[in-house]
Amino acid sequence: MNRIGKAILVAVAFTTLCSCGSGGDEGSNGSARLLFVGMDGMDPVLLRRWMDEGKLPNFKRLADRGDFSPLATSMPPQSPVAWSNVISGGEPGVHQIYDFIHRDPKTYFPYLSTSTIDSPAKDREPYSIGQWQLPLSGELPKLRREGPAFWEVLVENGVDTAVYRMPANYPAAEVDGDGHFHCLTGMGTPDLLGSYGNFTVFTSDPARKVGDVSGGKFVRLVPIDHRAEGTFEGPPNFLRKAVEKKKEVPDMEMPFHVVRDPERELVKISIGDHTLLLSQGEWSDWIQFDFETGIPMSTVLEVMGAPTSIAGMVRLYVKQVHPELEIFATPINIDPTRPANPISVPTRFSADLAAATGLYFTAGIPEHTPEVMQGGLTEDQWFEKATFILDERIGQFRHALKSFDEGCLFYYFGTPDLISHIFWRDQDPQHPGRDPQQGDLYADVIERTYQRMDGIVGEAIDALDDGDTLIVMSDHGFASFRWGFNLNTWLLENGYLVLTPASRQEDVEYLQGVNWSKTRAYGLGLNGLYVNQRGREGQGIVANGPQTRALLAEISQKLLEVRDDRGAAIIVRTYVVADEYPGADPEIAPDLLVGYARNYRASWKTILGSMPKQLVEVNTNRWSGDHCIAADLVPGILVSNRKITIKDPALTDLAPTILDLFGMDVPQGMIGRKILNVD
Amino acid sequence: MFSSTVKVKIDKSLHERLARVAAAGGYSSTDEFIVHILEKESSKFDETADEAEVEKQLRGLGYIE
Repeated sequence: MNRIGKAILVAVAFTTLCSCGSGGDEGSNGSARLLFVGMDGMDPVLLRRWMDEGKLPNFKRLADRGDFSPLATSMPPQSPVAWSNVISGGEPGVHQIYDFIHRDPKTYFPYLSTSTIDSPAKDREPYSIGQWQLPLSGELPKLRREGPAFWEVLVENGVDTAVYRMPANYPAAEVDGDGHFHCLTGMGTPDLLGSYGNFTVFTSDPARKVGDVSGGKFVRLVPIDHRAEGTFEGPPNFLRKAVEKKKEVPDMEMPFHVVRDPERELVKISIGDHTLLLSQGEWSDWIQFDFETGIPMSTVLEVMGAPTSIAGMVRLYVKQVHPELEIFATPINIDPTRPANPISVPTRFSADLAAATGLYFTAGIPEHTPEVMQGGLTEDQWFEKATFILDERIGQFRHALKSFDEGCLFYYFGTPDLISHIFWRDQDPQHPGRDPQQGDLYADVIERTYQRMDGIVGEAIDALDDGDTLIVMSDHGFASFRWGFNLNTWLLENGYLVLTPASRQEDVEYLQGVNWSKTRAYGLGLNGLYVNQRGREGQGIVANGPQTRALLAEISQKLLEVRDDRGAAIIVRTYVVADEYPGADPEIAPDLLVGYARNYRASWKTILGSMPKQLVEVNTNRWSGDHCIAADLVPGILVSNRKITIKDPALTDLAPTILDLFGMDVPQGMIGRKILNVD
Repeated sequence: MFSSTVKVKIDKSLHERLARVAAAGGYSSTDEFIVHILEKESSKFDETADEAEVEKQLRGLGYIE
């Protein structure tokens, strides 16, 4: 069984084990409240400009009442790193998250940094019956983030705390203490297939190329007499034994049927027990269904508490009915009413929330930008989807405010970040990917999104009483992404990375084809550079200590000297991790962090260990804004109804400040300062 | 114990070209070079399920094209 299957299996076991849950409604701490609102990717320059122009009256109201400041972000300024700084009050040397992507030093192969899957004990192997297997224990997703979390201290000390969608916090974990704790996972939560998301476009259009694309796939639909059949592919069948040699089990499937009105722009879609009518350009509500394992005697097994199916849900969008039929399906989300993975604490919380506010996206990044980047949705369609996701989030925010009687409430909005990534070029006249016609059409999308955030700030202010504290912040700012730098190409051209004779440079992926016996450094992730270190890397050649330090100094100096065609620096800062973060785990951390100049970023290909011929590539992608550059160039925002007591607040200061607001001592490991006036 | 081997027929002119590349690349013999590239190419079909899943996860991220 592959890891996806394992993850789902784990999750089912978890759900069964944890169905007891907790969740009394009584508060236990009578002190003033803290409302802590995270708005991913909001930029202080844009915020200041639109506040000054009178377009963000609630932000201005809050800043006038208290304070507003840029907020120093993490290095690298990537969301998993930045939010881990917020959570832990420490830097990456404390929480050990350095990038979206880490690498296994033995194999050089990349993996997602924030969570993994724990294997079951060897003495708990599944019990086999013919082609089936009955697991005796499952595998659990495990959070890789280390160090303290501010809510652990709050709850231990009796403060009721609710944490909605904090990034880098999947799977959800129980917290011991006298305070009530509610938590819903956010960025890092997989879809039902175990990835950040996989959309599907079912299409009869012969002009559409079918097959997998990054973050999704296009599947052929063949209408005969205006009727067509399709299939949703689910996770691997967790009760089927692996076929010998191939080591794979079949995926579970859910068929559906479509009937197209011969004349009108209307379709009837049947999935499981559901039948729905949708017009062209219409989104469906959530469609819940089960992926069945098909094991005989499933009723008996279910009575015994052994799950035999997995619950998922999708929303559909009818892109076109005639002349070609085209239907878009969101990634298959974990059903919060019957969660297959640990997405909340208590376990029943995700279902309670659905009962109160309706079904909702559970995938960690529900906007799923590959949908628009790969042509699954047009800009208008994707923006409409992002808008109703924000509506859904605002509805849940209002619900959370209603029951916010005590303690601390953290609530996260990811919309500003995703919108800025996709629509940055439309308001950047110098962006090389900007289409003038589209630019005029979408030039104000980011501004309008900030205005929606302003509305949320207004509701937050109005929900609080005198003595309560409101913190509105972002994890980083934003910059244009006009050009990509191929770090591995640069390492190759400068002799730090060597390919085997049989390798073609332009074909290399995942660093396969690198001659490790002659390679001293390699790049992986958005800002990471690693030394091919002897005793650490699988085929390392550079000794730890002075040899590594000298190499890093040499590479740093040369990188800072790189200039583009205009004579401008591409890299403005480098950071030796051992110096910046003394607690860094050398098995996990990069050795050098690359701080790009504004308008630059690591190229699309270099992130996963490729090395295209061109050193600098023009970015014409829809993903046209970014923030994975030198940290001091993209600070976030901090706005509060309290005065900020220092001139240079940073993400790491928030956790100690929160504890201070509740009169608690700061535990070891938190290096941040107390930055709000609590008088 | 010797591991069993099989013979593969290869065009002589191709073998000569491979011998030149092997020498230029620092391989100890032409056979070593040929085995290396065959293993490299065949490894593409031996990708583990774990690797395939990781690749799928990474590419859904948005930051990767």
